[in-house]
Amino acid sequence: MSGNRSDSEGGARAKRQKTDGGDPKNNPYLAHMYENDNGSDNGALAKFKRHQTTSAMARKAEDGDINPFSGRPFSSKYFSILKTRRDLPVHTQRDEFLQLYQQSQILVFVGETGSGKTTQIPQFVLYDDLPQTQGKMVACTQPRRVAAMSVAQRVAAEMDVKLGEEVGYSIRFEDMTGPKTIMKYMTDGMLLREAMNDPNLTRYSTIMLDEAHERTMATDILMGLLKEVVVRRPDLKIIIMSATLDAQKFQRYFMDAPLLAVPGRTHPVEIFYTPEPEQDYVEAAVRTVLQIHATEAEGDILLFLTGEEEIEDASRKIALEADEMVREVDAGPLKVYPLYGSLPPHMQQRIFDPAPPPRRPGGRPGRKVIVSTNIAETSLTIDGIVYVVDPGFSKQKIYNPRIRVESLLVSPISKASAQQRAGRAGRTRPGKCFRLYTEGAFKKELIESTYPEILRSNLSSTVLELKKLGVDDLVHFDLMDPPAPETLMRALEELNYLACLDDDGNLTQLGRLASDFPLDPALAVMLISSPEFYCSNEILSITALLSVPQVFVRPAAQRKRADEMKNLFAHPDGDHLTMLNVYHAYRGSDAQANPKQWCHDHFLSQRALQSADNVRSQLLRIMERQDLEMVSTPFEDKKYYENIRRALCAGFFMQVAKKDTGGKSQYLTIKDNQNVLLHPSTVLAHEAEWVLYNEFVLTTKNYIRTVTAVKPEWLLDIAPTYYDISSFPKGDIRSALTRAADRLAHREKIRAEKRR
Amino acid sequence: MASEDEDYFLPPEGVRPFSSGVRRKRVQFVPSSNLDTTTAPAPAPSSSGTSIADKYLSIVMNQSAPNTSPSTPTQRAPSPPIRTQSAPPTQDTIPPPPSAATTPAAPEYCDVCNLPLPPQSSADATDPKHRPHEASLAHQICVAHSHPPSHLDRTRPGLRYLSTYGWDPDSRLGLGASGREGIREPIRPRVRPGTAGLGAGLDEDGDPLPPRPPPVKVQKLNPKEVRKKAAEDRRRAERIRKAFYQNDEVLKYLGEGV
Repeated sequence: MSGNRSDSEGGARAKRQKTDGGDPKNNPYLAHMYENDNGSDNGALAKFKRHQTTSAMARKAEDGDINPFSGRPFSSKYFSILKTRRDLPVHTQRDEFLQLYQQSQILVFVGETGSGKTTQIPQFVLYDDLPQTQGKMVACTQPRRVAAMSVAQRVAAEMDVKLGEEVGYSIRFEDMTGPKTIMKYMTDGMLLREAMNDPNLTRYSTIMLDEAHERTMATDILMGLLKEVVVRRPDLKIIIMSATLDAQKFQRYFMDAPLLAVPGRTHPVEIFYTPEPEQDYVEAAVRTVLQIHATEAEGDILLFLTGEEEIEDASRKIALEADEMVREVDAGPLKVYPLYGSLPPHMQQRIFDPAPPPRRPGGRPGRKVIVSTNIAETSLTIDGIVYVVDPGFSKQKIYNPRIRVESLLVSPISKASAQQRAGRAGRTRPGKCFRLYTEGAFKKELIESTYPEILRSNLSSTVLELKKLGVDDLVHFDLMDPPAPETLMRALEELNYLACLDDDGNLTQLGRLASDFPLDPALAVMLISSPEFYCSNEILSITALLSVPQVFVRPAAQRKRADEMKNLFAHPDGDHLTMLNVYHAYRGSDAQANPKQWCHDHFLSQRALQSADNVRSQLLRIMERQDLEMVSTPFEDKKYYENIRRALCAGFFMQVAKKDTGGKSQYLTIKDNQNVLLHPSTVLAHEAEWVLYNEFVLTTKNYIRTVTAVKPEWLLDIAPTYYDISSFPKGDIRSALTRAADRLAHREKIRAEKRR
Repeated sequence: MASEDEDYFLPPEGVRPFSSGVRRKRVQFVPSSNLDTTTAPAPAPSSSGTSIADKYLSIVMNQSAPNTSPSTPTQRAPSPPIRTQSAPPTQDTIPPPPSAATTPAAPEYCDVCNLPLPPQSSADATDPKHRPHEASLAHQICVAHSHPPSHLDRTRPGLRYLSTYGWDPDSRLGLGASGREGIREPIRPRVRPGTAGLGAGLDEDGDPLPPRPPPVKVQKLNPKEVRKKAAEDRRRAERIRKAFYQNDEVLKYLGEGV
């Protein structure tokens, strides 16, 4: 049999040729030249009929000599991986899965972490859906970029193909797919962006939404969209994959779609509560870890805390105390590994190191402790964990539309989360979970399940996306958990002020343009209007820097030195300009000679700067596609920095604070009237009357972070509708604006006279 | 962001509906001593069936007529919500037919709460302790109350957009496909101070305990301050002693005060 078999499927073939762009391999007359690596739909899959295969057939194809997707012979490594794959829990139910998949358009699949659903189910689908015969692809979405990348890598290895060819991934600012790609892992946000240009998602024959239980914003919106798409495209198949038990909710939402549950391999976990509430959960957690180390049998410990600072602090304390225990009571060695999102990848990898061996043969066994944020709750599987310590908190984003502030707050977790955390202890053998709260608190204080992201976020970029997707009726759009009306109203109003929506709520030209950028609308609008201020190059750099993690590093031990280094770059007018200085220096020849050393010396995060560089070039491509001019004011011009600050106003005029006349260094946010302080990290040298801020940090004190001094005249000039003086109540802000307006009028008059 | 805007985040359903309890607590009235000066009800302007029947009844059972008028506010059928009640104002002043008067033998059932109505006698109405059936708790619970309108500013452009797609801010429904409406109020952010554990600072029922007094700081004083403080303490002790043990007679005896 040869590659020209698919010729019989005329229409599909034509589609395929388009993507392959006249590759001679597709020419049936030259088939003999490519005997050994002919097209992808031959060999073992030749007899396969779409949606009529069985697990036995797939098994035979998998056991063959030639890879049916790439046409190359299987390597020996493939077979060794295949053996371990067949041991995964999902494999026992392959037939059952295929039957349900073939019968139904939508399927809800429940499998606990570690059941192999993320890597195996897509491959089951490939052998049955045969997307290559349709010129289509199978997509599998992931909430996190890292997961999309690493899973794609793993599946490419399992299928014995090169990453980026048959199996690829696509994440924001990085596309690792090719014309041959049939299996595409991607972030849910990426699929949503694709839907904006292809509302029927015609490139895909099957779409899998993985980790749907995490209920990210993009997954929620996608589910709402797919519910509409399945009606228009009866050939499209949808699989919703979830790791938790509230799958009935998904079933109900998707018109009672069939459900398949694969039990994970879990062991019983004994749960303990404290008899009294703890006064200090961090301290209690440290003590519990040491207690486990002293009294419990061998097995690693997983401790959940809320943030980087807390984790580093607790890790240090545990390590110190454990050393003492080793010296004094001959306890086994204890290794502590912190784990949080902003930790560099090689440090994150360390959590998989085996526990340390006993100090001498026959001595007490060693143990490792992983102190983690809730990333170890669902997304990461660490084997060997037997003890879980759960203080019952995590950092959660929450948005208050009344004062337009999105903040990360330490909040109690949900019951579902607590169960998930406990489950982590039973992965290898029966385990124990120590909850640092009372059973009463578990029952009364914890909500049933965590609020989905859509209820906790600013919706302005989501509304813009929905408008671009053609969803105008935001009231009746069928979401699993529709947001509060006020949050939606706020988003509509913000977009209106940004001129992305007109007064009737229709998408404007600017809004359409802004929706092409994978950015917050304010940032996108700032970027689009930057050529008017002759500084699009600079604003592009600032936008990239604001889209990556903090570039300044401030290690606890060397704070002073780090601050000194930061002051080298400081610009008296604010943090945005300081960041720009950093970027320019980083791009300079001094730094590029040895960027790693340079970043280390200047207390900068090379990773953040590198990704800013990457983001910048991606955004540049979009700007060029949109015909936005890349311009700069000459650096010698005294308006160089002023133009940049004006351009910042064009996007962030809704995030401005004015100095309070009363208190010192107290600021009041415009319109929302919140008392705020400048974040101590600011470099702003003088006490500016008006500042624009990037971020509102809500803690016991309210801070604004990344601030730049601006002038009220600019605000009146750039955003006249928002700064309509008559809409302000009488008071300090109104009179300051009136004065600024008078100054503007006066200047205008003088200019007019001069002209005459 | 603290306690002062506690109300701000109160969802409308948490606010007590207007008029709840108003009908239960009766304003007491006594009939006028001069029957002739009663103003409104007697010459009913409308000629609807009920009002003529009422007039007839008031003639036939003329001793009960003056008695029913004071209790009108409670006897009015309370089932329709206030807001939607569009009855003409004249009806308010006309006493509804005293239903119990027709067949006192068979117990009647209330339309609203489905409970048997107590037999009504004219003597009860004047008794200040008597509470009409409509004022009973069981009945009040079953009554559909009207709700206060939403707090949203009606001039907001965002609200206008949602209204054009058919969302009514007063409907007490969230957004979303019908039957799957979402939350109505944004989730409230709560800042937790410090690292207090879950449930700390709450009593067994989950109510917040009063905050603990902050630990007293140990102050270091210099000799001058110590002396000053000692003198102050002495003065205070003197004051307290005077307040508690001062006796006018003793003072008089000692020749002080006065």
